[in-house]
Amino acid sequence: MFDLKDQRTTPKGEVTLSGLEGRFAGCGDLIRRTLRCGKGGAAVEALWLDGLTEARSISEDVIRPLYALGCRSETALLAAAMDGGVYSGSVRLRRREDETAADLCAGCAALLLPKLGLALCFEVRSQAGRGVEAPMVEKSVLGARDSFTETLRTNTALVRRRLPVPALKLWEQSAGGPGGVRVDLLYVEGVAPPDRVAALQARLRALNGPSLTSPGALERQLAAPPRSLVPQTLHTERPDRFARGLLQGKVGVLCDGLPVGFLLPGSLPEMLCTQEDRARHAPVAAALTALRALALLIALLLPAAYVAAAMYHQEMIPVKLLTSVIRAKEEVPFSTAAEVLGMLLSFELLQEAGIRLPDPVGQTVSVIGALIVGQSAVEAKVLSPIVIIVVAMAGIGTYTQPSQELGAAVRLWRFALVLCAAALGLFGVMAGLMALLWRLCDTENLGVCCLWPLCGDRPGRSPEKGASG
Amino acid sequence: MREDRLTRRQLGALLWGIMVSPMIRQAPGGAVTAAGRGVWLSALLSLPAAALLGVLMGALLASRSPGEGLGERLCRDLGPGAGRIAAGLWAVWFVFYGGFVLRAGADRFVSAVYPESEPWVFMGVMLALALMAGLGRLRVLGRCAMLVSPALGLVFVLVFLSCGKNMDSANLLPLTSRDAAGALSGLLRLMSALAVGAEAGFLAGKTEPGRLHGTFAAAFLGQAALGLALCVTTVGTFGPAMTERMNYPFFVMIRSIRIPNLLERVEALVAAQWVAADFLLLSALLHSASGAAALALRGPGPSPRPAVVWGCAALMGLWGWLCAPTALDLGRLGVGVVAPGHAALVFAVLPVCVLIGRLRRRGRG
Amino acid sequence: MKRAIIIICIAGMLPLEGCGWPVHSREVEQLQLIQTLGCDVRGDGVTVSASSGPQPGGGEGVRLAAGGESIPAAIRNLQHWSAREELFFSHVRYAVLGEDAARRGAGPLLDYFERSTQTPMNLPLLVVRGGTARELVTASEDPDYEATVLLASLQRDTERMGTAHCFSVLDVARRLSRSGAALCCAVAAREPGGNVPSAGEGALPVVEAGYAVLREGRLAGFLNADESLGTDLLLGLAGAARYVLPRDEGTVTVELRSAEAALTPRWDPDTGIVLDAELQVRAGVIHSDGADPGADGVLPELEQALARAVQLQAEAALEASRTLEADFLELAALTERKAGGLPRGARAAGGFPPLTWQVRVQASVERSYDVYGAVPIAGEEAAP
Repeated sequence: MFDLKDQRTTPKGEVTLSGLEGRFAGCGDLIRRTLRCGKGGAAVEALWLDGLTEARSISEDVIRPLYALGCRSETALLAAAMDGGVYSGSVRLRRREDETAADLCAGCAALLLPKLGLALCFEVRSQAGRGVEAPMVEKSVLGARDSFTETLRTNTALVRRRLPVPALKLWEQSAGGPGGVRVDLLYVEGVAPPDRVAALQARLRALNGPSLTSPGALERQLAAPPRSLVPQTLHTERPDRFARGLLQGKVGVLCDGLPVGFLLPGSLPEMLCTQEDRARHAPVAAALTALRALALLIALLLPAAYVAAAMYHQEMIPVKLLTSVIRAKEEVPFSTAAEVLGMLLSFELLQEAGIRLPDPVGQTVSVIGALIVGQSAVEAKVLSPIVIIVVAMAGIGTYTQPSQELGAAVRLWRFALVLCAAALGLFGVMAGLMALLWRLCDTENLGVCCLWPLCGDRPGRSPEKGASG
Repeated sequence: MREDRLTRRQLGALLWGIMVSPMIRQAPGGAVTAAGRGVWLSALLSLPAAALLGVLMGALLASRSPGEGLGERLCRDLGPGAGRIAAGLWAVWFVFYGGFVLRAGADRFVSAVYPESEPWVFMGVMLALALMAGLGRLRVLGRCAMLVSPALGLVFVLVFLSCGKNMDSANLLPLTSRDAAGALSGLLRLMSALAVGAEAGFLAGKTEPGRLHGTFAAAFLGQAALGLALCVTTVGTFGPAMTERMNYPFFVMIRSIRIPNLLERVEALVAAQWVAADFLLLSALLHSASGAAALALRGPGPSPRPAVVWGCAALMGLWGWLCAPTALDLGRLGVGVVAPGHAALVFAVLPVCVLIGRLRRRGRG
Repeated sequence: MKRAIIIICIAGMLPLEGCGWPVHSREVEQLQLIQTLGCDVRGDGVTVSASSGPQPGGGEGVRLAAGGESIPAAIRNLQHWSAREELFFSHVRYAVLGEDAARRGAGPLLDYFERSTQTPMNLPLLVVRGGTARELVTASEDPDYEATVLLASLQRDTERMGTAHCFSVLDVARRLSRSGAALCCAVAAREPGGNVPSAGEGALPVVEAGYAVLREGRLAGFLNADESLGTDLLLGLAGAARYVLPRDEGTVTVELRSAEAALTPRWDPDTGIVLDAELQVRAGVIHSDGADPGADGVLPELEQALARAVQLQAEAALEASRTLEADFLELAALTERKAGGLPRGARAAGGFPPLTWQVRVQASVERSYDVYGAVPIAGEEAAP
């Protein structure tokens, strides 16, 4: 039973109609309606934002029961509504206008009690939005085929379905203050280290809400300094992978409006594994992971290795191949390094063009790219055939990576390694690789190195004291 | 306060990795001059000696306090004044040796893979890498070592397997009494390479608590095994007389390795791995030098300031530029100063310091 | 600040790209591959000859020759004859020494291969018997009979047939270092005796001509076919060598399938060091000319004849080693290893150690490839 005694002793609230209308001035989707609580009953103002709310829920769950209550005073209405007189599943009592405004923006309908200065906010959120669909990137053959959506509560429900235990904790934060983008932090109590959870909570409190418009923006704010090309979080569109990460002691982050979940901390070896591996036999999964690791090395090193061999270490190349390369390169005007860099750049341009264009046009661009870059360039002696093979193999290696961010990082790193190879041959490649390795080993998030467990750190390493991001 | 600590596994990997370059110089190049055909006997004898050295190092560091490495131990044993002087001398030695490593590494690349090239560019790049690591956390170097050392080990295993078919047992046997007598002086040369690992005890202050006997022993034993394999394969391929003539017999040996229809020659690929080995060694030397220099300047305390690291790196680079104008000077420096210096510092000076410390403690009561 | 440093480092690499300084680089099209290298004497200096090897598509390769006071000087002069920028020796597959150059000494060539970072050491070293390396390397105009192709074919054949073995530069260098003597495969531009095998117009056939024996780095002599095969038998390198064994009715040709040798020196109080050479050979019948190897008593006679032939060859090899005073079988080291050492002073003297030998051969003819009788000629009655 709702106790009115507290209300009698508590000062009057600050919620006023004029205040709220002032906050939402210029918002054409704000609906205001004056309602009476029964014939001759108390008059209240109802506010809601059109589009965010379900009209049917408002009429059936709020207006109709409100009229049926027949309360004469706001106090009686307050008590009746808090005791379930209004049918809506959740009701929040707000004393401040900013909280009331945040609830309105979250899809609630607010009933203002002007004499008490209070507002009752009822959950009447619209269910319009994209439904649960199959994953677009992390395709599944044997495993589950649902993926996250833009609706936060749908996503948390998908995770709950896989971890139906009370130990799955969900900590919610509105980024940038009340009314900001809702961000949820999920973890399994007793599995995730408490200091890891606390560190991440501290980072979420410092989030800049309006900038959270893309996964990359959120990831940048979750990453520990120094922020670098090295991806530091695992992100997934699959709830099953997300739940598995939570069971491994990771902390998960879901953000309203983003159809991906983030798992922290992430490490490079984990980015070579897919959820689909879980559905296969262990030796097969291990072989596939090894194949991806090999593909990563090919993607990163093959262009640089070719440049180094062709410019500095020709003795490495077998005689027949070397003779064939010499013949092919005789009439090409560019140096080997320029060929490879130009080809890598063309590859990136074609890729970007293919992403931006609509599907039918994108296919045409792919064909033109293959013709221009492949066939014609070789026939015109602008490029040698082996460069195209090298760059194509490197590109295929990139595309085998389950993590798009890792693939993107590799695409940039290999440019630098090609320059190192062009300057100093294999010595330069190794020097560049050492610098890259150093950088990877130096990158930590929540106290875990991004090369864990290969780096030899002890498991369950706690983050540094005072590390807050 | 950030915690910059190596785990014992990382320390072990780092120890093994930093001894690779010195071992390549001594096994069998330096050792065969002394031991002749019996150099493999020297390497065989180095196995128990290496294990013993590892156990002794572990015992020396067993009673260390948190944050106390070999340098702090010297200060404790010799007293603050004499201890800081000793730390200063070690800092000078590390800078000296670091410059030598820079120059020797560059010479190795020029001799083996990049003829007609200038050595200073290799020195500059290696110094830059070492400076980057020296300014960072030691833990990061340990992580790098966890990845680099096994990769180096794998390269060695593949090389030895490939070179096995070129070996001739007549190059190794029979041993005469003269060969056997030379084995002891060859042993000393090999142990001077292991002494580099012992000097890494200066980094023990940044290692997690616990016994280090096994860590040091495993690293030294692994390195002695590498030395044995180097001696056996190189001398088995060329014979002692030819091996003695060569500056870098290992790199001449790998000139004969080919993977049919895939790689005609692999010495550039194998030599490039030495960037990793030299990176570990130079970075560890810079950490040790800056730590010892900071100890000498202000006594035991927190990590050295960046200025100290920059200073040590600059001195290393300068000495590396000046120390040996020609490869012949470099060889003489290595044989006449570096190898005896390592051996003297670790097998003579260090035990004397420890002994003085014991006497002082006994005298205090 | 860190990003600025990284960008500066990356940008700083751009000017270094491919400019050849301070690290020497070159584009592949600037290279002229050399696959066969020859060395002859010329007055006080040397002549170096080079051939580029087979070209894809059957194009004409490059054949060069130049002289100089030393091998590096001659190679530098060789550069002047190449239209491309740089002669590239990393893929040299064969090294050829003329007879005169071998007599003067193989040391300079071995030294060049040891010091050079380009040339490998595991390539065969051949000596031209009765001719010059230049003649072999540069004379052929027919691309199908280019020197590299010919030598590759010859190497395959000799090692398969077991008549000789192509020892590499590394083998020669370390044997000279160890025992003061080494063997090189000898080749001749013509068959000994003057007959030129028909090999096409303008061709320069190359035939195997036994072994050249180097003593203290200089050519001491050549081994003929029997001595060479005997050497291979004693070293365990014999391949599918053939023996024509006479019979009353004709001849039977057998081919070796395997040959093992066990050399055991022992000390005899009367005769000094005695080398016991136990050879075991297994062979198969590949041709029968009138004789029936399947008939009773024929097989043991064949085995006896084979054993005798092998014994003669082995003894000829040992005798040649003693005559030339070149311990190319490394018997001195073997004696030290297994018999406790040589008499004082014998090791210091070098050359062939003071020992006698006893050669025993056990031969077995194991198969006749499913044909035991003699194959009948049309019109004659078949043998039962």
